[in-house]
Amino acid sequence: MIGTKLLFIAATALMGNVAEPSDGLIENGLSLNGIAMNGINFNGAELNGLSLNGTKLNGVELNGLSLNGPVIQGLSLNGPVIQGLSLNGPVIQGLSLNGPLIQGLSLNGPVIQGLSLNGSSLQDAAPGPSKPQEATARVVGIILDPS
Amino acid sequence: MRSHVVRLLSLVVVVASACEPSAGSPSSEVEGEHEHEAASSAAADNEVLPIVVEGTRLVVRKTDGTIATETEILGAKLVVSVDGRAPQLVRVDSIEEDTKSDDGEILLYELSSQDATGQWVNVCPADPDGLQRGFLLSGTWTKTGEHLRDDANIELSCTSGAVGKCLRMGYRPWENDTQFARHQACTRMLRADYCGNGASYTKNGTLINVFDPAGIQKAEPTEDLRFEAAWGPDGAVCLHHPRIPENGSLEDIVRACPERLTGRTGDACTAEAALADPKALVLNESRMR
Repeated sequence: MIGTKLLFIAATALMGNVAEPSDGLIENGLSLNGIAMNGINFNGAELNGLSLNGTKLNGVELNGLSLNGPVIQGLSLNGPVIQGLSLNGPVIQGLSLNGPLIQGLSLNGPVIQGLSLNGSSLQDAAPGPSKPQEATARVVGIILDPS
Repeated sequence: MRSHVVRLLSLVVVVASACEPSAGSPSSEVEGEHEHEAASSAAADNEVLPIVVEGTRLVVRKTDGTIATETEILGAKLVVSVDGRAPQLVRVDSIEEDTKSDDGEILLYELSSQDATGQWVNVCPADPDGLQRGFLLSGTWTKTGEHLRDDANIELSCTSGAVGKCLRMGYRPWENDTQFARHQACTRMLRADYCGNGASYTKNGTLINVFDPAGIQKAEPTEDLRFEAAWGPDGAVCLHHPRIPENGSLEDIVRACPERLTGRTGDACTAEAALADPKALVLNESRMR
């Protein structure tokens, strides 16, 4: 099943319904293009192989959401609460996060470009222990430059 | 000290050729999965050679059996898989000896990968000194922060991370078992991983002072810092006070790993006693809050 639950949520949001909770959601290979989602709650969701282009999430409460690339582009997240958000590239581009509360944000490149964070309250970590976010970069081999 | 900083003088040429899709050159248009296709394509057209590292020195044996020179490695592209994802190409732009190393044994690599616009950008974030360099180290790091010996596995680290900082402090895991353990203990210390299970109780940018019984990092007087903890490869040997109390009080931390820290906190944990404890490999001070 690819993205059916989230796409359902998107569809209801577009029809004006709000606050469909998505707790513990795991989606793989999902692509969202130009979708506006309003008043959605995401809690502990994990999205893998995700491509977000020009997507807007408005009036949302995002808790413990993890977005894993390869490409996260033109994403706009508008509070009121953005908490424990983790975005993993390799490419994160044109990202805009608007508070008022942005908390425990983790962005992992290697490329992060055009980042805009707006919030009356920006906190780098929620209280309590955390897991280090250092990516594992395994070197498979090398290609020598023929020139 | 011998210095052989070699900058990649052919950067413009390399970027220009990269902008024209051709055998072995990733397209300037690539992004996301296309970049991965480019990595696979480049790998198909130009043979991916295995590498080994000696300390932090990259050793490449060419198909004719000879070892690639440093000049040949400059401009070469490492095939790197980040967090198990499809491989991407990371270019070696410069190689230099670490100025903090007194014997030239630690080599720092300037590494870049292509962004969505085709520009080559440094893959390493800036460390507290503003340095953006990486290095290669053998072994595997588990999710719980444990370093496993594995010469067949080579990982990239940056000077901004705990692994890199500990290496540059003089804890070199390839030298011997004790140094391997000291390096592991140091990474636990930098992350304030008191329980040795990968849970970090610190936050970025927190000042600490590091010293050890072997004198690799010497104890130097500090005005505002007080002894915090002694560390072994599996976490804190004892804990005087938590680095960031908001992230966990003494009681919280003991509750998280009672088998490790019960009876070994507060006034029961002193630098003098820890320096005499063979299990304490590195020690640190931090501000009491």
